[in-house]
Amino acid sequence: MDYWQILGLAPTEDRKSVKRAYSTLLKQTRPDDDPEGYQRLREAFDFAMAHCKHSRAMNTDGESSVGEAGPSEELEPVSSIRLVSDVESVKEPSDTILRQQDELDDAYTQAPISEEGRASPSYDQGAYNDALSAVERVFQDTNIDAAIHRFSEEVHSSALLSIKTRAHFELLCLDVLVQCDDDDEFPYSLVEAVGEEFQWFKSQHSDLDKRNRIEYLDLRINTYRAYLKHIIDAETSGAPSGKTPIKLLTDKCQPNYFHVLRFIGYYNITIRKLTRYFSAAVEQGLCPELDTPTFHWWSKNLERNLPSSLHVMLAVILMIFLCVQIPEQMPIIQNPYLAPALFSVVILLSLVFWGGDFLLRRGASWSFIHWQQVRGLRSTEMVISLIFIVSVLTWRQWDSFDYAWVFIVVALFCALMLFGLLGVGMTLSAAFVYIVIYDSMKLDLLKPEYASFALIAGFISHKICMQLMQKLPQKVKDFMYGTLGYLFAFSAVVASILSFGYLSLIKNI
Amino acid sequence: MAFIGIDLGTTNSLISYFNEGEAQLIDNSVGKTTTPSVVGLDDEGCIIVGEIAKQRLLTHPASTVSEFKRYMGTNKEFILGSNKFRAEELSALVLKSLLADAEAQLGDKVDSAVISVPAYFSDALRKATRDAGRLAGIDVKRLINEPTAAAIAYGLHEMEDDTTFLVFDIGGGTFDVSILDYFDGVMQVNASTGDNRLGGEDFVDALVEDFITANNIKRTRISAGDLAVLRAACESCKCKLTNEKSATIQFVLKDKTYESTIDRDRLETVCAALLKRLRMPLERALKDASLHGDDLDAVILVGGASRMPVIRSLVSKMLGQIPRSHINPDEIVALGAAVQAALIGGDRSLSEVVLTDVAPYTLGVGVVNESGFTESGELFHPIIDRNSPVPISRVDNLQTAQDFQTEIILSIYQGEARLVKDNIKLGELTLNVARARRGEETVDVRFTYDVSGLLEVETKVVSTGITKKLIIEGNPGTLSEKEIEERLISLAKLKIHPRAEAENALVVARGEKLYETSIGELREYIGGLLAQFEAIMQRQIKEEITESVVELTEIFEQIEKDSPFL
Repeated sequence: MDYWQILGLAPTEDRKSVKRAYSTLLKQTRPDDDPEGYQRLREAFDFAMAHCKHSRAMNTDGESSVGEAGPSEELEPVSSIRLVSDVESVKEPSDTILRQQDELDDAYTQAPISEEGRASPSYDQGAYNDALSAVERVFQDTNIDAAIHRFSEEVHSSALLSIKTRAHFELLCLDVLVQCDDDDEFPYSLVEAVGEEFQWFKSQHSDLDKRNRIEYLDLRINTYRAYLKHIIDAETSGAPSGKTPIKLLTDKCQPNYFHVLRFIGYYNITIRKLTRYFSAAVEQGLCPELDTPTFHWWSKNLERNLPSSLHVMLAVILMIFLCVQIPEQMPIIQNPYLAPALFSVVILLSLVFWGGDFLLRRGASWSFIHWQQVRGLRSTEMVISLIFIVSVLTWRQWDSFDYAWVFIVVALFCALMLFGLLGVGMTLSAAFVYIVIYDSMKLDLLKPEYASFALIAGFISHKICMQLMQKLPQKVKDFMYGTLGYLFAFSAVVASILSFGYLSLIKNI
Repeated sequence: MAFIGIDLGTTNSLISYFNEGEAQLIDNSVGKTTTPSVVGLDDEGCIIVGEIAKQRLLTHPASTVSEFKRYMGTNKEFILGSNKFRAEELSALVLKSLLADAEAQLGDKVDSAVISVPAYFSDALRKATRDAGRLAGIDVKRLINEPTAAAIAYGLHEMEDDTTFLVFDIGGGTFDVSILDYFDGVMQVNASTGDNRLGGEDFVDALVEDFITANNIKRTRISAGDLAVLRAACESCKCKLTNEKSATIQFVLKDKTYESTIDRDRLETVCAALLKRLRMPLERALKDASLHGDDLDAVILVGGASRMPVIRSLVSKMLGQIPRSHINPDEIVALGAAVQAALIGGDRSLSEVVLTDVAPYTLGVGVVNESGFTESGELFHPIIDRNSPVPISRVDNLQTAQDFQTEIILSIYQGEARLVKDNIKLGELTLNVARARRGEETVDVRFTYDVSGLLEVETKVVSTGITKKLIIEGNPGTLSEKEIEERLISLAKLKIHPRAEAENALVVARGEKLYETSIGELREYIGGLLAQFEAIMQRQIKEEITESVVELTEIFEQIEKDSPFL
């Protein structure tokens, strides 16, 4: 039954009549006597009230010249905050990823859905100005320790006792901190202090926009913590006890692979944002034509599936590149290296996403490919296997053995993605065996399709291994996937390099 | 049969009944409406409850207990003489004394009541409160949230139609914030948050700590009895600061007198950490109700500690409006509980009133995410969000996380954190499923939250149709059915101080307290009075006893007023 029917009303925007209808019905459906009836009625009422609120907000938006503090008014003070944060971060972020992120941010604030989901405090010029001047005082220079001190002073000052002012203050702080993109000066300890005060990283946030910003900060901090943990582990493992490496816990530390971690952080944030945006759009009913049960099921699981789905979409586009007959006038696309290279990129990104998540959570350790993670890659695994087989079948147009190594690189990524290092070893050895057999028997079987059989054999043997290992204790599994995998992969790589060298030698002669 | 409402507080408890469209408080055996939640043993080994026990808290700290509500739902046992009591049993004794008062006034047996609990009480604490009612021999018809009770008592008399208001309830040991809507006779709670361990007693503790450090007293030198005296002095100082700019704490330890003067600013500094803790629940309640400070039509202060000027000014600064509190903040909750009892009982004068409440906590289960990472522990998967209207029933479908698992361990949690390890575990269920691939076996988990805020979990394995209900066992906080039976029997064996002699005993207890806390001539004088009174009691002439009780009460009251440290 429709919510409006339950209330016995025609769709309306009048809160009074909704309340009246509800209270009359409620006296017949008391929560004590009819819990289910009450639950239905209450859901209908909450829906109707939200509808009233929403449509009222939409109406005032239309006549924005008079309405409540529009975003236009609010934009100005925010830009003055930008200046402050420029002091904080010496150089402008130059990465393209960052720029993309800004665009995403813009897309967010402009989308109608975020308007409703936003719990920003109702606009009050006085409260806003108080908050703004407090924020300006806190972030007046780049000395982080002093800023933390000033922050704790400001946040407990009497001006910020008012809940409204404080809400503005919180959002403004978030704005400033999110804009500190420079790694050398990123105020980790300040972010931690502010986050602690406002409970950013402990509780869940209903506000979409705020949640994204906070998650971004959280990831950055986690990246940093992961790095610190790594350094401290390395330090303490050999160092005499009692000597605590406190000096390492400063904001200036830069690991050599810190940029990689950072890239992973940005990438994961971007994918998550896209995911959220899409799932919110579906929830809001912005795409009525998609209103089918299948789609609902999918969208229900969207947040979970979308990261994989995005990668799959990319891969499908690439597949089309491979399968269609490429016109003569586009020589670049004809380049046989292109498709496998793009494949590798997609697979690498997928790997970065899932592996990176794991990496950040676990603390930076490069041996991140292990049992649990491999098990988590099921959905991606299926699709990539498919792409993989199609790529093998369409490979005939290359028609030359010289490209075998390109194919092997793709296979290597797939294998790494699918099975971890053990899988890499198996795939490579299967390919190696195939090549050696071909070479030694001098058979005229130089058809790339057969290579796929070798790889499928590797795949099957890996699956069998997985099943056998199911019963083994966790430690053994980790060992097989970790240490043994490394050894296996290493020997296989050496073997394949040797064999390829040998093959190309024969060819040249 | 009367509709009875009980406010079972940390410091004080009250009982009221609903009569002819209005709730009224019931006086206790010594003629007061508030009965201190204190239980003790007298010299003959009888149980004494209320005012007398409170007086004896200073003189006999070893055989008197107070503030046990803070230990509801825990395994802590209080030792009184040769008996050990859990907080539930002590609460049951307080309830029994309240019920005896009600029966004396109404001349009728009371067998059911509505008991108020802090809104932020968890499932275990609510169950413990219900058990306390059972131990006291009554049927607890409903548990009502304290701010909701206050709101309904307030709203029916004071509120204009269609208003949104906030109830700020800070009692002796708990703190709650609720936001309500009142329209067309519907009292609707929109959001409720709080802190289970924050109340007036914490402010007293802060003062005691401050006094000890400020005067450089060695902690080891203070005995339990001395500490009780100091606590009483700090408490009276706190109460005095409500009306006066400054107050003095005087404390005699081993013939040395310590003294310090506290003014309101000093109190604010001493209690800064506590005041800070008031903020978070307030902010969250507003956020959950998606309101801003301006949208509130009124702010109502409830609970004894809300009398403190520090708290008042903080609330008005935070919300930007002056809070209201002209009904006695101690009594309003008990009145509301009686109204609720009448509502449930279907009293005709309330047929146009409906009360709806919300669940204070998010309830959910522990899950692993798609990739099965368990490095930081299981993730919390909410099923009923906090501030959902109750009663409510929600189903969620969960899948197996591993290939070929045959068992699912479903752990139930309450809290707001992302990881289950930061939330409170309520219980666990083990389900058997068929051997299948990951995600192929699914389970429907139904959470039902009733109007008293008690949770029931039902699970159904989709493939087999086997259902299971959660019975929380082995949870340290709750009593099992069998334990309740056992404790009912042992409670029945206790000797309870006769109600009729309550007044006499109170006078003696009060006199003894004064005797111990005073010095010099005054002490001798009180000693003389007490000896005289005992002689009168011996003679057993009723009129004479009544007369001297009145006389002594007056004298003791005068002494208490004059004494600087009581």
